[in-house]
Amino acid sequence: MDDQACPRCKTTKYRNPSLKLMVNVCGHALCESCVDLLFLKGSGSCPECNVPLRRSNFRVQLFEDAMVEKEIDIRKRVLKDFNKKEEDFNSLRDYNDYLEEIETIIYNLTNNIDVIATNKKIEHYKKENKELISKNKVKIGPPDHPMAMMLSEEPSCTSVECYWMKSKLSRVGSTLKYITASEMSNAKLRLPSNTEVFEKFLEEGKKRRLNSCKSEVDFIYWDIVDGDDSLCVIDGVNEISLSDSSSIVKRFLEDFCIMDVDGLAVMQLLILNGDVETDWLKGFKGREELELEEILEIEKQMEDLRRSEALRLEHEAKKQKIREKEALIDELMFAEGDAKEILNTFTQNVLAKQEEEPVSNIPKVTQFSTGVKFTRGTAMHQPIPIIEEGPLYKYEPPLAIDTCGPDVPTLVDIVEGGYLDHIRVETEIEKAGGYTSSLPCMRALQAALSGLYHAS
Amino acid sequence: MFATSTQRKCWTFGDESALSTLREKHNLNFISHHGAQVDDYQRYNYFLSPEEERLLLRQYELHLKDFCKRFSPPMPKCVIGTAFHYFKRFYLYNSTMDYHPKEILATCVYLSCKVEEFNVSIGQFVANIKGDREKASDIILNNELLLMQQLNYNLTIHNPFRPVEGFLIDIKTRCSLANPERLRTGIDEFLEKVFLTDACLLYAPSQIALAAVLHAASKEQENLDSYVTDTLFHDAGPDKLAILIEAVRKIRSLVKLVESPARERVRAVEKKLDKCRNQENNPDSEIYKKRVREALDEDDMPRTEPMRMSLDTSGVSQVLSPSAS
Repeated sequence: MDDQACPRCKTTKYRNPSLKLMVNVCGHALCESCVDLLFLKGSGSCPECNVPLRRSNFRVQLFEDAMVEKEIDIRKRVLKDFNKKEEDFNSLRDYNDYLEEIETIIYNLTNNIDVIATNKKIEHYKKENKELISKNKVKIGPPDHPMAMMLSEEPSCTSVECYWMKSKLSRVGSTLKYITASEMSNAKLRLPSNTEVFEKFLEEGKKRRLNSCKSEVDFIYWDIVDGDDSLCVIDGVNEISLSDSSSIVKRFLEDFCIMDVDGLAVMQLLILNGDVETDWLKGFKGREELELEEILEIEKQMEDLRRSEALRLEHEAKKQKIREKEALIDELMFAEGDAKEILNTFTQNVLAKQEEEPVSNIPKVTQFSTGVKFTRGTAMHQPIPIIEEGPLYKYEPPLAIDTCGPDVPTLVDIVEGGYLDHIRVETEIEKAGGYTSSLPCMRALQAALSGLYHAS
Repeated sequence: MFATSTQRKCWTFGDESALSTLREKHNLNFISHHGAQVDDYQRYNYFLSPEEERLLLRQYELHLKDFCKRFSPPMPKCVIGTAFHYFKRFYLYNSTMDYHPKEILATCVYLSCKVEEFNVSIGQFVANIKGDREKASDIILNNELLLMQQLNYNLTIHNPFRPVEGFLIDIKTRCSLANPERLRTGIDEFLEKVFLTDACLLYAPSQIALAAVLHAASKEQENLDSYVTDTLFHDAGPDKLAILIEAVRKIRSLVKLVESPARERVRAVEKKLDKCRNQENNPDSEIYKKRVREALDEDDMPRTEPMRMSLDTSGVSQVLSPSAS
């Protein structure tokens, strides 16, 4: 019988057929809903072995034996560093020894044998072969290690929903690092002069001995001259050599001249990891922290984009309105004919336009910043059914009833007017039952006054 | 609320002539239906005249009051008021010759006990009736549905008792009259008499209540005129005040005119009624018994059928005999 069960909530496959077990690097399984619950904030520790885990590293358990999953994780991690290729060895024997060593390391880590010593070994290897590792990493093309082929990277689970982020997200965890121009220059994003940020950035780069970098530039600029906040994004990848700073400035200026811009908002530079990832980057933060930061940063940029898009649309609408108004005034001033008629046609036009207006196409946010989707569980990919709703409820004030007599005092009048002095005070028990002495008083007064004007 | 009630819409009439027209009409209806062969001169020698009917009903209203007063457990005032309403309403559209007031009286009280939530069982109820109690409960239960139908199922009655309480509260609050509670005896006497008149078919319960309050005040040598004109009718126009004053005056004069009918005359009318009443509705008559028997036979039909199949006719009559006795 299928006895797959979540060790935390004890749900079994039998009880919940849609049960999906997930595993992380430690190899302990958790069901999908437990993952959602425990890793709501993006990171947490494994309930079984207390190893700190990140939500994004959870994946569906493919193999029934969780150890296999653990091994896959470890293998992936180890192979990231042990990425020498056959060409790097002098003889086949050496290469085979190397592979043997990898397998031993993986086996030890998986079965918790000599973990500390093994980790030391990895660190040692990393230090020794730093250059070779980064070189092999950058190499494009299929990984030639058979195991590496099998384990070729799947998109992380955060990237599934937003395909447009995939290209960037898939790079997360590799050695590329975004550094925004503003981050390095400590300057504000929007500046009247368009080169200031850039120049500061270059200075900083030189100080840090970065001499080769790839720049991926996202320009978001506002055409301030016009007063119209039209927005434009330029996405280009340029290979730049930082040593030749004058050429970069020139290129940059050219770009901006073409577009006739006055303000610069965001610029990113991708710094190649290799020789650029210097002591500065290393001393800065651990790699893992950087990765997390990258994700957050990307999200922040997306959010900015969305917001500015919305802003632009709003401004356009406003401008359109002003133009319409001006046209109307012109018409009224110069055209002959009935002013009312002109007004009528204009209002009709406006109404017609409003109907035509398309729904704004701002991309909808589908997940929280932690990567948790708004919709949860198995229903994640099913579209929400649209419910047909009836006409909206319209409030109608209650009918005023003709009492055919003088106005009856309201409850407030009864309480304040001293009517209650002549009525038995309600007991505690009656009060608890919702009875107050103002009720019979009100009723008696209503009965007394209603119908006094009655005429046959 | 009276203003939106069926009591105002369907059961409050313009003046007394409207009431007497209705009563005469149903008197004539009955006569033309049951005494077509009797010529005009002889008519009222045999049948009751509208005046005689009025006399009889007044007598039975007194009976109704006495019955309710002596009822045990003692019943609230509103039950009596409602019973009076039902009784008066019923005989607006029916003749005493068709349905004997004695029977309708008991039915009205029984129904009003139910409507006013004065909980008595039929057993408890007929315990207050002298004579054959089983027969009485049969009559009451038989007539109950008829009564409701004749009332057009307008069972909610607005009695003047609650408005009286409202006026007393209002007077205590907004008027300087000393000790308004002393008016109560006068009010109760007045309202008791009001139900012996047609006032409740002509005026709103609040008007009757105000008349009672004003009457009681004048008996106590107090004057509430300023309360009525300045406090109650402060915002209303003088025309409305005039209507109210007229209504109060009329109600008080109606009450003043109440007198119990002469006993000899009533006795003569009752004798006449025993002869001319619709025998189909008389539970003591042969024709009524026969009809009941027929109705029972109809109910028994399915049961007797297998016996007919056996062609044993003597058996059929035997089966019928218990119900016939």
